[in-house]
Amino acid sequence: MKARISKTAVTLFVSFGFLVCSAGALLGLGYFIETGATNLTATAQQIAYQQAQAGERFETSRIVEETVSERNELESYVLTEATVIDFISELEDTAARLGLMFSTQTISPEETKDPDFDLVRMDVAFSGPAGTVKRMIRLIETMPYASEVQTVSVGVDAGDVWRAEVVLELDILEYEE
Amino acid sequence: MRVVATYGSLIGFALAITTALLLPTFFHVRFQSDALDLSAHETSSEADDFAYVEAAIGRANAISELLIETAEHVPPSAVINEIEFLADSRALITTIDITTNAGAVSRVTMAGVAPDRGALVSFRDAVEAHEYFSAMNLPLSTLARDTDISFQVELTLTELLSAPQ
Repeated sequence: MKARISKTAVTLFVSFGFLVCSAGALLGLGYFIETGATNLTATAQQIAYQQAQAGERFETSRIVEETVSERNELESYVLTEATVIDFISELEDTAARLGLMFSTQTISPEETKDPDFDLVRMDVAFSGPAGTVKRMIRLIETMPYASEVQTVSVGVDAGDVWRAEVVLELDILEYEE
Repeated sequence: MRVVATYGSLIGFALAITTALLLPTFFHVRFQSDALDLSAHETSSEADDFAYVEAAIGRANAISELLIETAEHVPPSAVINEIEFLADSRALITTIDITTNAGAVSRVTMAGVAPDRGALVSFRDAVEAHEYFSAMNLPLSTLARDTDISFQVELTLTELLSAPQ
């Protein structure tokens, strides 16, 4: 009788242990599946959002690639650190072609709050026949770069010979590589 | 006790079978999740490649804004030409100083010599009648002499010079 009870108790114990283990495994697996499904849904939504953005990015990239020449033309209206030297040389060459005595007095950086552009102040002086001096002033005013004439001073040196001093501010495009 | 043990075993067995049946679901969810994580990472990398496009657009926008803000005004050379034209035979202009503000002519001073008082007054009247200038205030001391009158004045400008063209 004692042996039977003991055997039944062992069976009951094993059965209970089996039940507990099975229930634990089922609950654990259920938890992992639930968590995984939630993450899966979130990731799928994220991917859907990213794919929608990727579509827009593709379209924007296409437009950017198609407008390379237009953007290059736009950039040609603004001097850069690389082209400002050429600009000064061009100005001096133009003055020489017109027969003017030309000199660059000062070139100094100015403070600016614009994050995309640096500001350079340039002071130039030239002298020669009145008509040519006026023509040079007009050329400086209308040159195809983002610039602003700050001051113009003209004076008569002798007879038809004028001298002029022009201070202009040049916007220099900053490049962020 | 035997009955409880039997039922316990049966329920445990049922639970074990259910667990076994859920295993494929677990692995399916797991593999799908890994695959989507990889896909999400790749898409994120593509977004990083988009930085150059953003930079190009940003630069073009900055230049466009700068050029749009650059309004056309009456240039200093036009003011010089007009003063020279007005002076004509009335006065010899020796210096003209022009200052601009935001692209518009904001201050004009000039100096010169008039042959006589009448010519200087005539020059002043011509200047004040011009659309660019509203006044040319001659100091009385400049009118003290009869001939070869040196003068230095600042012109009062009309709104035409500050208005964008």
